Amino acid sequence: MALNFSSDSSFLASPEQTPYQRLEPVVDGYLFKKSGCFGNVWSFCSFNKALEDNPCGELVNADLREFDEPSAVVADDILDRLPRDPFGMNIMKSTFPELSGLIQDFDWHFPSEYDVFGVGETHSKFDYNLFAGLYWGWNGAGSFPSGGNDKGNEMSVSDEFYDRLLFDGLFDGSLLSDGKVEMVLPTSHGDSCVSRGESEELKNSTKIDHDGEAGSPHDAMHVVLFLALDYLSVTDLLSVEQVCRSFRDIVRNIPHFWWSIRIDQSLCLRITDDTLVKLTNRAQGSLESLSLVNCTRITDSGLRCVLQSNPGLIKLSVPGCIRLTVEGILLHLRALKSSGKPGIKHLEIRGLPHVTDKHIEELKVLLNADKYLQQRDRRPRFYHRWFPYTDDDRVIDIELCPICQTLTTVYDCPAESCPQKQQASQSCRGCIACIERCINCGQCIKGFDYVETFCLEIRCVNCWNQLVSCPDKPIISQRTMYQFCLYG
Amino acid sequence: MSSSVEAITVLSSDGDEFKITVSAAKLSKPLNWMLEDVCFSDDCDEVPTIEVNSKTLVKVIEYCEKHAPRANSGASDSDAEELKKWDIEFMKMDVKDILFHILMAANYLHMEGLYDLACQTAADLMKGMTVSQIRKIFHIKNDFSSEEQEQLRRQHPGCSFD
Repeated sequence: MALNFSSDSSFLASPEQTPYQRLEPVVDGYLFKKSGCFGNVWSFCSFNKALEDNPCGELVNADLREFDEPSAVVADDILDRLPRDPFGMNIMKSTFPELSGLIQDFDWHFPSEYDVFGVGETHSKFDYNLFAGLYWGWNGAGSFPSGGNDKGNEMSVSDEFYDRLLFDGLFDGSLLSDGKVEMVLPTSHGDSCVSRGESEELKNSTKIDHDGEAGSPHDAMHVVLFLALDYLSVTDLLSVEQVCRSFRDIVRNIPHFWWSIRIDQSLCLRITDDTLVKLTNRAQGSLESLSLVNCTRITDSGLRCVLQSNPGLIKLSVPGCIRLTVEGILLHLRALKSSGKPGIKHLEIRGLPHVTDKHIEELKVLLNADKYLQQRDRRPRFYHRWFPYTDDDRVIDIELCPICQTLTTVYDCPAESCPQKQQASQSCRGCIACIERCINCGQCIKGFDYVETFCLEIRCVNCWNQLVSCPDKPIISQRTMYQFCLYG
Repeated sequence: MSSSVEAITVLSSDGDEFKITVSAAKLSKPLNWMLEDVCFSDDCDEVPTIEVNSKTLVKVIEYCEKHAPRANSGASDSDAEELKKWDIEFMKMDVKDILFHILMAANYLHMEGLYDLACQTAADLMKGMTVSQIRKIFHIKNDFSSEEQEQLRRQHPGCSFD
């Protein structure tokens, strides 16, 4: 991250310097040239200075969080203590595209009139955030250089700088081999490029180190996998955690992977209050989205614990968690409201017992639902049997069914030719009990042909035909109807 | 950038020369910058080196050439569909041998599409796998001591062990 930024920041250099007169062999990742990346030095100098005044440096060795056992030593994260996204740039899940975008934006903000301090100051805040949040999740592992550097392109970055930033040695010494920052990727060298650092912690915990020249494919593989971890779900992360030590340490100690937690099918019946709290603690207080689908063992006290330690939670989804109560959630929302914090913006509570109109009314007030109602809640929602919990941006997922007047999820009809829609007053909206729908496409079956399978699932003819013609599926017959029942 | 040039020559880290069309090169930000800043003409005798080995570079260029028309002009849905299929085929490669290099190269060349694709491919390989399967796929050695293993086992009663 930092590296990228620094390399990129060379583009902040004043255009008058017209860098690329000569084209040198590409050793220095981006620049395609040897000298002339003046911007790097400038911006890093000033950045460095700004950092020295930054109290966050002291947080480096603050309390270590552990998941379960004391051996999990890699990093306490200053991330928690920093604003997640000070400029509202929405870099929560940044991968490099977004980042590059940001960087380019920066570039534009500093045209020819190029003020060193201005740049530096902005960097300090910006960079810091990036450092803190995305150093691993993004290309942390991958883009750290090792070897093959362009010697002409030295950066004035002191070791101290890294000590401050790269706490506890996960990256200590790994970012740059010897005080240089470049964007050279070691693909051609075959090293795994992560850590040459001699930090003490690393020795015993994180085994990404290698001896520089003779990186084995084994190490290299780790790096790739770290990059890919960002794309995994909770269940998979938990599996990855058990693969080997370096994976365990990475998965446990990089809160970035845990900002969004979704527990469904595979874990929902097993997860308890206790494990949920431990799991969410990995986000180190910066959890943003929590989905608990049919987690029947989660109770109000467990959820409260999680909510209290993660005030920044934006989306809470607890469909089918029958041991939770709407009062418990209300209690938390009231507390948030009274403390004036920006709290949950999206709530999914279908399947919770004893939800009344009054609850919904209060929830709407607490969530500022009226504000969003006009724009978002008008978007149609379609029924699907297997993916009923799709993400949509509704503030609250349940509402009064226009037909039976119960509080439940109300679906729209996707079929444009739906006869119900033709009639002016009707819009074919209703809960699944009132309007029967195809389990696949969500189309209402009134006035359409449909097939009912052995286990009483309804499919419209189109979906049924698709299913039949799909070569991967068993050929349809009376018998396969029975099979559906089994598979379903 | 001079409009007269349609393809540029780049060197891989192994020293092999590769031709890449300008529109394809534009998918990579650094290459694009280079194109904007440097005039490629016949008398330009400098050949930029890309620090990616030949085997990987072939693949990367293949990807660029395939995606360039769409990136430049925008395409219909059917094209997008087709491209998706092509991507899937394209990514059917040996993890250890080449996927890793592709990912690194995508990162290095700032190609977001390829980067996402490669990451997603690697992630998909891990999805739904048991611990031992992941180890096998990625050739990772189990370096846990038996105590650590036991500890993990206790922590994650819900996860698949074998």
